[in-house]
Amino acid sequence: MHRLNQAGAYPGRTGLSPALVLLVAIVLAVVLTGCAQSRNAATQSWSGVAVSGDSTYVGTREGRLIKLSLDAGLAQIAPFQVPQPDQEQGFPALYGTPMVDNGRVYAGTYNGIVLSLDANSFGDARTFEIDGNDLAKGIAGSVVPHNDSLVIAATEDAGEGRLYVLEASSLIEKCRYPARNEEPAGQLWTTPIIENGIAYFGDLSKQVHAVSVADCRPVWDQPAQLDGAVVAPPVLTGGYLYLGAFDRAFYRVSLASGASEKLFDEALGWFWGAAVTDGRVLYIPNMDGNIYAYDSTAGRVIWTYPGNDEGEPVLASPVLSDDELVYASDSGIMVVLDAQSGSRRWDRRVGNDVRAPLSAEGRVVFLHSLDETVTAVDLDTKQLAWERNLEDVK
Amino acid sequence: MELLSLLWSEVITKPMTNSLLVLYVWLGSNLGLAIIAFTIVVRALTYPLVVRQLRQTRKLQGLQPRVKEINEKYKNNPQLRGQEVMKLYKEMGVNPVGCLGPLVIQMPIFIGLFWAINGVLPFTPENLAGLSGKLYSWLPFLDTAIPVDRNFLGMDLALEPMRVGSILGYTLVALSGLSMFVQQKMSQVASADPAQQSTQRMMLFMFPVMFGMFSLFFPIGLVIYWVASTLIGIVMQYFVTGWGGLFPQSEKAGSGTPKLGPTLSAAIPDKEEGNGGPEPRPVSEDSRGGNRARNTGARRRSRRNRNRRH
Repeated sequence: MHRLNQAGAYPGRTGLSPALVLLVAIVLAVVLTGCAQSRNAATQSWSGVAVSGDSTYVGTREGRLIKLSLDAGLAQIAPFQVPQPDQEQGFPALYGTPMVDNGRVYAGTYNGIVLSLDANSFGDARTFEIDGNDLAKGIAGSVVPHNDSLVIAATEDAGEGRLYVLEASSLIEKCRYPARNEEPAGQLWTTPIIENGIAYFGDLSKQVHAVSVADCRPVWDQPAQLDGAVVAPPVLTGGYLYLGAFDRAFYRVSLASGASEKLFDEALGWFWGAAVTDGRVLYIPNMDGNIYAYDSTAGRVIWTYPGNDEGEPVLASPVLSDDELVYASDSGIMVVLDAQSGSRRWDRRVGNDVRAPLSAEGRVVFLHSLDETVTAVDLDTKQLAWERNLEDVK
Repeated sequence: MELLSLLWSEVITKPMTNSLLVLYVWLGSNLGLAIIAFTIVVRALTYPLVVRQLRQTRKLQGLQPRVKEINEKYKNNPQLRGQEVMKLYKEMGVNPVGCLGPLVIQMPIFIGLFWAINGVLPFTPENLAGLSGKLYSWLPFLDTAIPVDRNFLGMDLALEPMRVGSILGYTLVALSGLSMFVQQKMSQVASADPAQQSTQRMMLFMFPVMFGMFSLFFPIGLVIYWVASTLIGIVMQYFVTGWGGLFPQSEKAGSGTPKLGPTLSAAIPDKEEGNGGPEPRPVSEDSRGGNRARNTGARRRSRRNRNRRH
């Protein structure tokens, strides 16, 4: 057996050796196999923490719904695992925050299942599957209870979405917008907000819709048109919807007419998380790492908190508690700001990236980070109230 | 590892993602056309490397008579035989593994484009959020191009042909293997060495079959890139070296020596002939190829001199 020379050829032979060709082929095969692996798996999810009574509810990327005690973060019952009928149908990650209403907990999964469970026992599970392409359909927002209905923004196929209204008790479909025989809306990866029986939501096709929950009919003559895709759930105050888009601009849309107006476009990143408001000032997270405080009465940005020290995008919706604004970012640091001035009061590390919307009960703030840890922080003592890794909850 | 990942992101993924999106915006929000245009740009940028490689292939072909002579001369001393062959290659500035060059150059582009397509056509919210960090902030118009229209000729460019199941998707898969076969065949150098012939046969079938198979599991956007890139490569190769091993009969029918491509004389300056080293000296009855190469060089010089006079 001849040894290969430096050029990879057998001595005395011209060109390549079979061994070298085979080696190259194997390396290529390994690289290509790595590339060709499934790419549409949900590797993360960012369900917020819902608080109801003495319990908290949170979803995970593996499609588990978990109930923890409010005071200590202890598992109150065994987690509920969302059924996964077929691997090809996608992955049952829970992106939206669970909603609790009338003793039931509701959630939507990323493989397009609407879930209704008894909030105490996680029993009496009922499901509804949205229509659409098995490879692309899904729910990335929350299931919103409204009177005796559930309102869900869903994606049916790539670039196509519809709003579903179901009967809350039976999960029977009441109506959908646009109707079955109509052109769908753009892809929906958001949570609708409901006011006076009208659901408002934006889509990835740069439109904002207003739809009657009663009959799924559009309220405006045509959807409001923006210059950027919308994922952020809108915020409602003073007769306007406020929401940011991917064109780095923040808008308001008239509830009455659907007329849109660009308020400011000084951000350097996309608006992903929902703003919060005290009724006058809107606190808006942006993927450039900043928090913008926009005074809706004065019509201007009153302060910008530079997230430069963390330098990480803020996708999580912040929360207001008394005169403090609490936000967290991909840096895994929770920051407490003076809501009036935007000055930093204190901060603490809460683990991995935080993308789930923050929630608060009294002076305790709940954060769910991407490493599947739920952290409860007491704003008064500035101490950790409790911390639970959801992967440990069996 | 983190540094490597950062380097990969900054040098490969980000520029590719932004270039692809810029082309997408310029070409009327059509990602299929953007991928084809991207392929043309990449091929244009790597043209000098590819031409250099093709020239090497030609040189290797021209050296066959001398290699055969060495093989005969040192048939009882493999060690010396190898040294002499390598010496000859070195003198002539030829690298026998160089024929893998185009494939090696293509690989980072191929993998980078895979991630770029994944990024611009996200399946999950985290992928979409990740795209934000890949866009250059000084190209704000790209933000308004999101989300990217994923359809091209009725196919979702992010889905694999296996999942799409369309005839066009499978045609692209077949075309990816077939076009690679043609390109491999064109690149092959005639060899009297049975082991070399066996290696060439292996390369001729293994890589096209492998890429054809893998194409079934790649996003269609990537398969379009591969097919377009290989077809452009075939055209480039034809203009530099002619049909090469694809139509050996027609070449033999001429003068018994391989024909050069239509623009070879314009594409190869004199200094490339052996990198300034000695010209191959034909010594056997199989040496007409070497004569031919030298004659071609002479013709080229003559033509250039004529041009200078004008």
